[in-house]
Amino acid sequence: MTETWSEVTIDRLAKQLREPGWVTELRRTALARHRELPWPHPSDDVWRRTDVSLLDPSQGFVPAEPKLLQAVPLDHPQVARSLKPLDGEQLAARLNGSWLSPPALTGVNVQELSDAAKSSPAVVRRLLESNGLTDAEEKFASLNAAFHHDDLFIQVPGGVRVEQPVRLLHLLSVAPKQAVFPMTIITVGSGSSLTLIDEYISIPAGSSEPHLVNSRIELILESDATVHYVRLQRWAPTAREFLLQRATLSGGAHLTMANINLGAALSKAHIATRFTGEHAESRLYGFVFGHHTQHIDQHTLQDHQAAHTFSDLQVKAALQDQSRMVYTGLIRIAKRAQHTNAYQANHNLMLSRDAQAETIPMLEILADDVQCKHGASISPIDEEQTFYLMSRGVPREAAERLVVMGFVEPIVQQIPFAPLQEQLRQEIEGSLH
Amino acid sequence: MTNPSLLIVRDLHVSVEGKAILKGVNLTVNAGEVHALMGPNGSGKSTLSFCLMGHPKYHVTSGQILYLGQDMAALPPNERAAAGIFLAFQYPTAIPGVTIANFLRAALRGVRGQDVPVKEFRQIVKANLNALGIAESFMSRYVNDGFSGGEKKRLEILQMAVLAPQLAVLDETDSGLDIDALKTVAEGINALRAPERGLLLITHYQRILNYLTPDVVHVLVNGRVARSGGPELAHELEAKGYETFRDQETVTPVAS
Repeated sequence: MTETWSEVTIDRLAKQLREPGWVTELRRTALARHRELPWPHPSDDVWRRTDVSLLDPSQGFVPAEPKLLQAVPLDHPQVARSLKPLDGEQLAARLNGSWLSPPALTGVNVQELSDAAKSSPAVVRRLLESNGLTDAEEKFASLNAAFHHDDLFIQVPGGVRVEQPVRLLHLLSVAPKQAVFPMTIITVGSGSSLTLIDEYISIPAGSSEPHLVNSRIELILESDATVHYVRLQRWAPTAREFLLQRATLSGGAHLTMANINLGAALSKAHIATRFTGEHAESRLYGFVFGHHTQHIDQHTLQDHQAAHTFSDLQVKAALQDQSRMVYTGLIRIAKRAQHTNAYQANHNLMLSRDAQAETIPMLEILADDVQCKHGASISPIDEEQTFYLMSRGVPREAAERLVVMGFVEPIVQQIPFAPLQEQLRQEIEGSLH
Repeated sequence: MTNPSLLIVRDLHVSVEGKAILKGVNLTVNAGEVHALMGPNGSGKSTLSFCLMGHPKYHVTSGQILYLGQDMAALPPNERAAAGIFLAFQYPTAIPGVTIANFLRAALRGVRGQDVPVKEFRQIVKANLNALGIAESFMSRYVNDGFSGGEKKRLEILQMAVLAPQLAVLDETDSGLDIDALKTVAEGINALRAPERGLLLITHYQRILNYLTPDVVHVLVNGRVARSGGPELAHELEAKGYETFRDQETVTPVAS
């Protein structure tokens, strides 16, 4: 690690964020951990299909401390569109790590992490210290733990039903070769419910040089909490992303998650759901829209540690141009997690001869009384479907467009907010060629 | 000749994956006529229907399909549809995620060559749903996805009614239907009969002909029209089966 990525940077961040000393100590510990961990071994199935050196900040990247970030042009078309609240939602928008206007959300407490660390130190400390990662994951996650900024702590207290969907917009304007480390922690109390749309946009300051985003998202569902979580990834085409996104479900909690992946040149995402209490259920949906020379590598983990838990996972990718999708998905069922049902499906629709997809299901089942299924496909647009539509007068191009939109639709349907569904349909359809 | 015939199939030879299926079919359908094309399994009935619609797997090795005097060979399926040809499929394809409403709108746009105003589209759909006794909720279902056999056939008839083609080819639209569904389907077809329209009804059984009286009946055996005649031919087939035609076919020398 170079000088740039050292304790000097940590100290400067700590000073700017005015965080408690123990948070800074955790940063230092994380950096030490990063230094001692090896890079993922080339034989590791979960890592070997992506050149992870591209995600190494010491390869010429500089830290984007909040004050170094550029001003976001608010009239940029994508920014302007995202800043317009959709009918019926509560919008809270951030710009380069500060609120665009003070958030006024009903039922939800939102704090910057440095403030939360002062008001609820025990909770925040426990979250920051939580691990359960593989060494390879921690090699990257520790960088976020060391250099995180633009970090938020979102809390719904117990027994609160948040009626209106909340959209949290993170706008980042980045200079070439900058690296940003956002962190979002969401805790939803016992018996509470929340619909959260977590939207990430980066606007590069006119250059084809890459920028790096190393993100961490933690969702904690306490017992009987119900959460609909949507992540909209709209990084700029020059972005490289590492994402660690984890959900932890206590007993009786219900999570429905939709990850919509639209941007970035390179994305390596680890999406894990951990079931720690009985009768917890999760439904995870992912859509990847690959275009140009994008490389998307997603790893999912359905980690059943308690009995009578349920998970369904469906990741779909529509790949055009020379895009490439890699999917590895692990279902892990602990010995004590009897009577668990776990499903996993990955479907790839190839829209170009030059696109590529690989899909690797993995199972690690130690309990003996469970139901577990996985399925995967990689296929071009079905000629019979195209013919059927064409026989009704629909020209080939429009017919293929309909089939692709039909492929995406079941995922779009999982977004529990109709105006956003419609916006996404238009956006995806508009990007097909 | 003042008006060209609606459809002229002239000495049509068709192969699928290198195998010859149609071996010289001749058929003429004039406006205002209903033709029934009958024949045993494997005689080439469905091949003819796919071929009329321009399915890419079916290769015309020789012969012609003329629609309103125009050779269809070079036209992709959507342009044949826009010209006024409709095929009701025996096994309609499911298109998950695409609602019937979106699909019909795209189809109408394709056939007309321009967008259909929302209001007009709603009116057209509503009138046809009512006429066929189909609930409006049908429109938000995905095309043929998880449909029963009867629902699939109903959707084919609904599409035909909305698109109002000049030549409708119905491939075994009567198969697998219970008597009530069969009546609905037959009524839908009857409603489309008009002096400017032609219908080609492909069927294995005589059953649907109790509700629809054809002007001409053709018997297709082994890739050729073995005999053509009036409605009485259908009754003869019902009584004697296809065996007699098969025998005739075997004594006819076949060029290979």
